Amino acid sequence: MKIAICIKQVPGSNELTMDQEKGILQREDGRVKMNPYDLVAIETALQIKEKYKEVVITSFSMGPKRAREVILSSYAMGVDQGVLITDPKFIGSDVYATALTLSKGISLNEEFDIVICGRQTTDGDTGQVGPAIAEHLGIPHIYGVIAIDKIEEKHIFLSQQIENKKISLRVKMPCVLVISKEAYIPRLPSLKLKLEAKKKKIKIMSFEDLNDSDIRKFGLEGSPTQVEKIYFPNKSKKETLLSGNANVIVDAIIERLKGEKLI
Amino acid sequence: MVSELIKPFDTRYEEYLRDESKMDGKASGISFPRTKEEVVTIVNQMINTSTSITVQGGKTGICGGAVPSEGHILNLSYLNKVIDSFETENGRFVKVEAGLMLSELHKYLNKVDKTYFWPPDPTEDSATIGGILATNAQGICRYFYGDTKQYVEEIKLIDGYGKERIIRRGERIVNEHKCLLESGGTLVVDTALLKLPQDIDLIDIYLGSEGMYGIIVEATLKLIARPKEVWGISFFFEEQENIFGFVEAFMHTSYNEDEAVVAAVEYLDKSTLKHIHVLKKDVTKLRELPDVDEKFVGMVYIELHGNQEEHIEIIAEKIMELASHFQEDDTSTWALSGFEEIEKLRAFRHAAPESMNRALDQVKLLDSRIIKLATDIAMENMTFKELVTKYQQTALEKGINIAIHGHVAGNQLHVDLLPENYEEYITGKKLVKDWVICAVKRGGQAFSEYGVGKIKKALYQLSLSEEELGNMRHIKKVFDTNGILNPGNMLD
Repeated sequence: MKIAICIKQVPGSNELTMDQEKGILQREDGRVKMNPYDLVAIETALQIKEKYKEVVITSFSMGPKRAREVILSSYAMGVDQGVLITDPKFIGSDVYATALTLSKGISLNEEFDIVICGRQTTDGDTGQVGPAIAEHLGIPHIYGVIAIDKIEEKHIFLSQQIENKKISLRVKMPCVLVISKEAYIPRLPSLKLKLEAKKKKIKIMSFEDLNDSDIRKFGLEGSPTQVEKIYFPNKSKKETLLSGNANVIVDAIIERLKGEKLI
Repeated sequence: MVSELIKPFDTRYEEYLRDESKMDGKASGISFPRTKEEVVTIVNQMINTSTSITVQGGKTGICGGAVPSEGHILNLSYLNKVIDSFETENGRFVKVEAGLMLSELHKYLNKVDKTYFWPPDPTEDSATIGGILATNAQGICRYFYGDTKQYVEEIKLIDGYGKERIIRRGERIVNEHKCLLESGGTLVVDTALLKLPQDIDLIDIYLGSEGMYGIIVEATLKLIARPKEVWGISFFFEEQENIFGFVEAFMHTSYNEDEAVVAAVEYLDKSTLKHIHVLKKDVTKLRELPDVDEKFVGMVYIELHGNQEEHIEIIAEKIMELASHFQEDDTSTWALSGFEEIEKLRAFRHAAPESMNRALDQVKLLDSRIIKLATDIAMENMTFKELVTKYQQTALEKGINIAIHGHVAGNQLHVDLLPENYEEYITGKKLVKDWVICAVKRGGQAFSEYGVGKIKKALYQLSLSEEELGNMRHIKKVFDTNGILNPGNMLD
């Protein structure tokens, strides 16, 4: 069985800078980390590998050259091989162009049985890349997967959480699974695998490798999303001091919660 | 003006009667000054009315130092600004107010210049800089970066006369047991008796004195270049003997490689791992970490700092090779790199004292007389194995549950006693006393990091000779004749 996972390097903190002119996040400076939602995608793939025979996991990341760090991190968790899709031509990609680029990279490598994505990223935050990859690949996707229950020759049995309902599904492979953060607690990289990771190869793909010479489909030009303005939400801090005995304070808190429609 | 600053104590301020020691205190008034001038005004008012002052910062201490036994609470949490950051020929510095939280200092430094940092890193990042300096709190990276004191260049404080003093490093040095003060007076410091360096700097007498000699209101902190690369590695062991073997072998080998160094070596025993597991359910940061398998009886956390990852990797490989002789499962070791990522492992290590405080909260619900029972004895002249075994055996004999975590270097281990009722608490208190007496007899340092405060005062005084106490009281008298500052702590 062949599993592809999509992972992304995201800013390490919430203090981001924006290119107001282009309407994109500036990622060159500052610390970076693996998108935490993608760690759950990796864990899902690793759990499948531990349970079933002959599973090969390949991680795909689209980003600058330094995004190779997230591929190495995936190796340190137990992923077998990795592909970095990197080219200055991809800068400024929105969700549509990102999904297109990733889907091209995935389809040009192997015939994967399962493509696994995290639910969203902590920077772009759209939650749409997984489903969009499925559209580009022409295969079904399942959103909100909380457990892989069983895998048979052509089908995967899984649990999906939609609001308060848990649904059991049988899905024909190949398919894209978008994993909920609550599905699994991701393992931490092991020292042994982390040290071995540096010695493993990463396949690099650029625009020229995608078998599509129409640059208008990629990067900023291929991104239909128009960002008009980027700004931080106003932060307002209001403190109210409640006084009185415990009963009075409890009543006041309950009233306040009711007022805010929280209870 | 004064009446606006000083508020009579009422139930709104009850939370200020306790700190993490879970001791309860009492007070007649409270103030939250926002400038050092306001501190001077308040202190002078207290001198005029002969009211004692208990100084508070983040209230993260576990020895009751910030718990008022009477009088006025001077809470410095609003005196929390970064005043300036600057560079001189002596290096890079940041000047801050005493009530600034460590977490805010980190945020500030991350924002203005990520290439420098202040090395002391006590567990509680809600601790204030003033509190850290008053207790000389250290943190896990003391192993490489050394004592907190060397990262303090200047302090501004208000003494027991209500006067502002500026103490700069290098300006006033003890010479033949005497130090001339800017007031013209002489401070007698018997360095041999107090086991202090012969030529100790006056600033180092203030630092770690728990506010007995003055109220620190500002500090100039020395920054150093931040390592470009950091790794955190957590080794888990299934047999206690294997932990002892690993630690023994590790501490007898030098692992430094060019500019890469071992910055921290920390130990967490099985009981601590168990308590962290309980805490994990309620703490988001910990919930994101995988469970530790119950088969493990302990963990050793090692942090590597350097400027090139290749050098760190060489050290990591050597340590992994060593660990492979003692670990049953070499894939169980957690390893993360980068400042953002290792925060996960640091959160786990930091959860050790937090989980103990949570356990104490539960017991205190059953009997409010129970307060924190913990030691921070440093016993360099025993092996790690001897020390851990001694703690475990004596606790077992007395029927008291304990949890051990702390710094492997210098055998500076924190032992938390976990009584289940008041009887066990009393037994535990006696056990702590036995350990302290034993440590003093064997040349150990009985109070290394937590401070003394009110909870350990009796034990602290027991560990000192009359002459030592006499000299310390002389110092107190010089700076605070009327004993107005922090009564009930340390020397009283």
